[in-house]
Amino acid sequence: MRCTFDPRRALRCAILLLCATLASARAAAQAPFNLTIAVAPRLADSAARAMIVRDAGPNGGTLIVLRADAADAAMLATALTSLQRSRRKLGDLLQYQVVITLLGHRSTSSLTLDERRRVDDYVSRLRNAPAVFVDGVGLAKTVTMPMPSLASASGS
Amino acid sequence: MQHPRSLALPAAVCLLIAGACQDAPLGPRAPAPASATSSPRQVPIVAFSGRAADSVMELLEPTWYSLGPSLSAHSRADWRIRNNVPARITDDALLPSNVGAPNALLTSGGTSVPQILSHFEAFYFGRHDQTSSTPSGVEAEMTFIADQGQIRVASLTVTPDSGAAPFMTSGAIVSGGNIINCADVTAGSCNQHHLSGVLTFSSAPDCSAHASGTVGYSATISQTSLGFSQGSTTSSGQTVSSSAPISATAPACSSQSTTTGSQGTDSTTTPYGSTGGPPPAPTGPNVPTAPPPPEAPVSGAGGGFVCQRTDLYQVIGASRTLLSTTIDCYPD
Repeated sequence: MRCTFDPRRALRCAILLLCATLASARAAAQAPFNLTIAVAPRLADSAARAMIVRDAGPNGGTLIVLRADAADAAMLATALTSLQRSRRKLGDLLQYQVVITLLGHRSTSSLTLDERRRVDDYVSRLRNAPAVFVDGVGLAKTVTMPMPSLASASGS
Repeated sequence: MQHPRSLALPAAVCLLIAGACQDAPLGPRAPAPASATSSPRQVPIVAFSGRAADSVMELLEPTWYSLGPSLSAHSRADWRIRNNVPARITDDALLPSNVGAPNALLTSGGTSVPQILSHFEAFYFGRHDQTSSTPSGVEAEMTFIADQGQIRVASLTVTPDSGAAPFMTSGAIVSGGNIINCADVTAGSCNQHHLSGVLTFSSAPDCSAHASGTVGYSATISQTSLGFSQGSTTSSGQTVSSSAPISATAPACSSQSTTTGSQGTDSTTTPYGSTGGPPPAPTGPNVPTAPPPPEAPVSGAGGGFVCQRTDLYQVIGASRTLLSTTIDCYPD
């Protein structure tokens, strides 16, 4: 778009520029990474109920793998809480790959109604998701979504 | 004067851009914090061991000591200092060690004798009120010379002053053992182990009550091995045992205290966290699959805490190098 010295056009350009700046700032504040949630029949660590793999680098994605027989709302809520804790502790741009092995899960009674509704929805979508090949996991039902903003996250 | 319609297009574009940047409705929201007014929840009896036990102790100790003014806040730390046990079980201890099991030189004059060198144990009352819930617990640890150690609550009875039915429990807290005081394995001094664990439970009365019981310790040489220097062979199956009493008196119930129910007998405990035994092998979706561990050391019970292991890998090309492993727990 060309801006001339026409005051009205200049005003419109300024508004557009301001909006674009605000929008890009907001986008930058959000994590630019994707989050993939997968359900696999088994995990590399047989004791694990879920694992979180956070890849290093600016293009690093995040993968939550739930063991199929443990893939319920409490387990997913636990994984999301652990992910938020890890992001708060280590940040979003990692120097090294981080693998978190969850050995237990939050009790169902510790989930708020909102949490419960949300993770139930994810689990339901996972159950109906198509199975795709996930590197290091194998064939697994997956759902991929943008990583939620850490600023808006409020994990316990 | 600016015509309203001349701003319509920029405003629409602005709304479009800003709208596109809203949190994706399909994206997962972070779990909301637990309700601030959560009521006390009954959690099962859970045993934590090793680094996980340390992590849980770090969370609970301040509250436990504040509730029991007669307790010395430094007694456990002092015991560790006196017995050359690290103040905090290091995460390094979780990494694979070059020291093979069983340790070298368990022999003395050709005869192997397991020994319990020292032990520490304490009972802590928790607290339940309308705004917080802290479980009660038994913490125990020992140093020993043997292949394998075990700590168990031989008996525990928490009796309410009211005369209501007492809470009773028993069961294993932890088994295994981590090598301590090992400066040089070839010098033959790596025969001391440390084992620690904590048992938490919320179902016992924690005010106007008295607790008493016994913690049992055992150390076993269960494998045949060769001593490094003398080439002697140890016999198998030797066990030495010890026990120590624990007792505590809970403060009087206040109006805010919530009397915990389900008094009765419970002899089942759920192990949780790392064992004190062999360190976990590096694992992860991209790590070459290792043989599964002989027994899963954890169960899915929440127990009021969530424990996790975090492995840090350096990835160069297709190879991954494990840099560190940590185990920590956080309140449910």
